[in-house]
Amino acid sequence: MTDKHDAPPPEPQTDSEESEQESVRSILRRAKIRHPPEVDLLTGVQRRIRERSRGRFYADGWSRRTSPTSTYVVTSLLMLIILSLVYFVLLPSVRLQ
Amino acid sequence: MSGHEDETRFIERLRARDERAFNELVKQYERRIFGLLLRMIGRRDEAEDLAQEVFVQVFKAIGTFRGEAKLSTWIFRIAMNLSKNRTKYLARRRVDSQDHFAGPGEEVPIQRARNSNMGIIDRPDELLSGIELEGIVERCIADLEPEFREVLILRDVEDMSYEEIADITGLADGTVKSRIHRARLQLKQAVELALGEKIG
Repeated sequence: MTDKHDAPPPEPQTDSEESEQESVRSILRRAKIRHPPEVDLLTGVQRRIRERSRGRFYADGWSRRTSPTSTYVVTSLLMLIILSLVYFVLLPSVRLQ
Repeated sequence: MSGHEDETRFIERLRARDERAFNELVKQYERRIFGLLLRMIGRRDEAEDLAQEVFVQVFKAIGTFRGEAKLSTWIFRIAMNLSKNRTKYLARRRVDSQDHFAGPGEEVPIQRARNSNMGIIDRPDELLSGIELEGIVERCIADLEPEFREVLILRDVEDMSYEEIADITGLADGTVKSRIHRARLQLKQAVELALGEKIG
């Protein structure tokens, strides 16, 4: 998909308009106004949608955030740790028998 | 595949309430929408709250999006409408909408600038370098009338075309152009006054 931010369509402008525009944009650039501020809205948006849809959307933890990859990795590691613990706890009792 | 086809497919996913597509949409637009609202309202907490509300409205209303305008234009229109409503609400509550900008702008050595002679500077980049300019310009933008502020931000910060701005604001093309012209003049004058120097 395209983003309007990337390429505004060129429009015919008079010289004075162009210099006026460049002058103001130069100030804005220097003041860093043209750099959008950092923000993270996704979690809050997902929570609002979940609450207002009464859990119809974003109901499960898997669909939240940008990518569930980290959740898969954490869950896999957690399972491995649990299995290892169970194995080492049960192993002495099996040997005793 | 063209950008238009990509956008059409993306909108179809949004209409189908594809949560991953919606996550992408939020990540793609969150900074621009938040930046716009921050400059329109002037308070970070209010802007963040409202920006979240914009995306909730987009999620709710995406089924009504007919594709006559670009998706970004439609989202910005929602943001601008919510911003106007919130500004009215805050005005009723007598909240100082410019709290956010108090601080950096105040620390600028205005006194020194005020005492200097007014001279024309050909290279504003050089003049403004090394000065705490961000606060000054933020304050000057915040002091613009809302109808001038909105077109200036859409044009000179968001790089939008006159047509898109007309679409977002509901104004005629000619009105958009004249407001942008007046907004730029007002901003330039305000910054020059604050700096005590003529720019450009």
